[in-house]
Amino acid sequence: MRFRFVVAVVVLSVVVSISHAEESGPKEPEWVAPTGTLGPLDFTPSAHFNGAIGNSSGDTEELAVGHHDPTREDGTVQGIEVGLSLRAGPVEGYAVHTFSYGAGEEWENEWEEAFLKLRDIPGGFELRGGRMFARFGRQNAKHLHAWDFADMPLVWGRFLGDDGLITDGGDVTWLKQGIGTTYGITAGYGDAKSHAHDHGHVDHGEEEHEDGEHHEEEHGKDHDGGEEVLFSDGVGSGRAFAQYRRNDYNSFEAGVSLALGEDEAERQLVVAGADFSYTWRENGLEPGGRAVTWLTEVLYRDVEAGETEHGEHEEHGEHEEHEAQGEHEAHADDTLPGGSEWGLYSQVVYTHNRHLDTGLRVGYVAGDDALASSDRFRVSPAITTYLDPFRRVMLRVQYNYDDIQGAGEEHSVWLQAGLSWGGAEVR
Amino acid sequence: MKHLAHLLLSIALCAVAAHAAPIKVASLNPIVSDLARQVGGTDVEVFDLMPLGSNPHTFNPTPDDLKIASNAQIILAAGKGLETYLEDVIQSLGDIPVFEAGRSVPSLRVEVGEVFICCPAHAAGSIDPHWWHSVKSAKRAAKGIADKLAEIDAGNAEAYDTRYRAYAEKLDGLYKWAKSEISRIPRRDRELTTSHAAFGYLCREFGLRSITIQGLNTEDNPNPSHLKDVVKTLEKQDVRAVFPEDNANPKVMSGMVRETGVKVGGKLYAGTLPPASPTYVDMVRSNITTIVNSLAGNP
Repeated sequence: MRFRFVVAVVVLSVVVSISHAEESGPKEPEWVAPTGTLGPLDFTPSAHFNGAIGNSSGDTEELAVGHHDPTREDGTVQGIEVGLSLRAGPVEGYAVHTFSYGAGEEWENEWEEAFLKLRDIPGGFELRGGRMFARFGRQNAKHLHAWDFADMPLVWGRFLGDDGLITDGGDVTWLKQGIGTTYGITAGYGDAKSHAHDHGHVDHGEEEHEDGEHHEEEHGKDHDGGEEVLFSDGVGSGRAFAQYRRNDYNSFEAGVSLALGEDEAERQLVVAGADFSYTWRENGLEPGGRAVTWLTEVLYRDVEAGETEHGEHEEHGEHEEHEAQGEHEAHADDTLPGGSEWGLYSQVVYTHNRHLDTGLRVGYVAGDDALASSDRFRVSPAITTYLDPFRRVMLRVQYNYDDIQGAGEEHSVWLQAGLSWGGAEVR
Repeated sequence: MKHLAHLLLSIALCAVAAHAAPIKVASLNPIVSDLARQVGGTDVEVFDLMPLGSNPHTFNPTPDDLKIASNAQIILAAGKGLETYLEDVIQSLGDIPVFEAGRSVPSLRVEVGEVFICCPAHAAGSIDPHWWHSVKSAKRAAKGIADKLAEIDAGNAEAYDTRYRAYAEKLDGLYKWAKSEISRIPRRDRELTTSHAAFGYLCREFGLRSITIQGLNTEDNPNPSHLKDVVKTLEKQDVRAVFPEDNANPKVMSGMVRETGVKVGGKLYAGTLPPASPTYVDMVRSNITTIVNSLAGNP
């Protein structure tokens, strides 16, 4: 029944999209993207809603890789993002609070970003400080409302966590802009935001430690059943990129990224990435017209073997205490495994007109036995329709074909709805 | 023998006639006309539909202009939305190809270009059509024109290419000269205050900061709060000079000068060529010299 509903909505949306295909050049009403002024301060509020319903042959929660991915067949509020951008000359700021309702069956809310930025520093520099999405790769800096698909790429969730790499710290960026070319280098340092979302898992490897501290997920399993190995405090990250616009119609961007740090168990982690994109736009920089964007990101992760807390205890002479308590069996191996993994995703989005996009994303992550992670392959075709010419009201249908090593094939269909209000956000 | 002589004469006359008949080019912008003349040489005859000194933001071709254009083999425009009437021209002239020289040039937006954007929907902004103030962009446009001329006059393709290469070298030299001249301005004084937002490409190419009093169009009237901001900026940054332009509304700049006491630099050519020497190279030389003389002082 739900599947029929999804199909009906999509067919209706596509028909509406095609019927509006020739509409050109309307002007967006001001109330859709208002800006206020208070003394020297310009402020721009924004609010976005994204939610999804659907069907899956597998456990939707286990198939999800991102915090904002759809996890409930009956309906997931992937995110309600309430944000405010501030601009006062070279000083800018942005804060966004996000509410979501997923498999945990309770509302969650958090500050996803809250930072100040100082731009136009002589020499082409800008500084940011606070909580922010690290400038690492292409996917990481995007909020949910800017995603091209209903869920996060596989490799992102596995290597950087279900919210990507969010840090409390600062970064410095050097930019050199020419006509048609832009080069940039960012270096940042901060504490990775903890990955403690409640997905409602009952067998997620949660442990109650002897000190009573509850390390939810951090020592648990990832969504594919592997050990979750994610950055903790003190992460250094950087990105270098080059954008080249051959003209208004053809543009390229290539970048490399690196993040270094430790996980909760103090294992050294290195995540390196390379990305490339090409965009063709029929109307150049003017809105409307057909467009194609092809984006590919490849990530590699190296995890250094480390010691368990039990192993560390031995060094501190606490071994006997454990033996006396008969806990040794539970910590049979004193070393935490190391290993290396890689993964990628590649996506093409074709814009037919202001109202209709079709997209295809292919993702793969290679598992590592030592890290108990499995190979996973996913193909995701999607059709996105926009009911208005400004792309504020969105309906997307996405099919996911998953092939997970050891778990087999799974099929999922999601109908995602999105509403967007507000002007450009400070990034 | 007599027949052979007639035949040879006829062939020779045809060859001369074919060689002597240049392509008729109608141009809607004097800067583009000059680029066409440079790469077209004697193989083209360029008709300027827009008189020198006219305002490209307000110019509209008359029925007489369209009559001239109807005899052309190609119509050249600056593009990037500068010729708001272009669609009408295309419709009224039917099959005559229209080539927008700025099409091959990457655009800048009038607003300060944000590198990091939140989403594609917010990447929009008005396109700055004054691409010719970037010498590198003009070189690209000249290449586009040469290629287009070679397409419709394949017999002279090599000549267009040769002329383009020679002109490109000249533009490379112009770029190096301009860069060296601008380097004479102290870094803190590299602020170009102009009437309307016409010099974004020049500023981006040569590392100047742009302060504009009016908007994109010379007809625009700035709103009072923007004017207040500009006055504040001029005072705060101790701007050395403001530059009037051809075709811009002088009232606004005069008021600004009265209020701030800032020096008035020489006149800049924003959308046309200097009447005394109407070439692109001389326009750039004139503008750069004017800017450097006012902001760096004469050596």
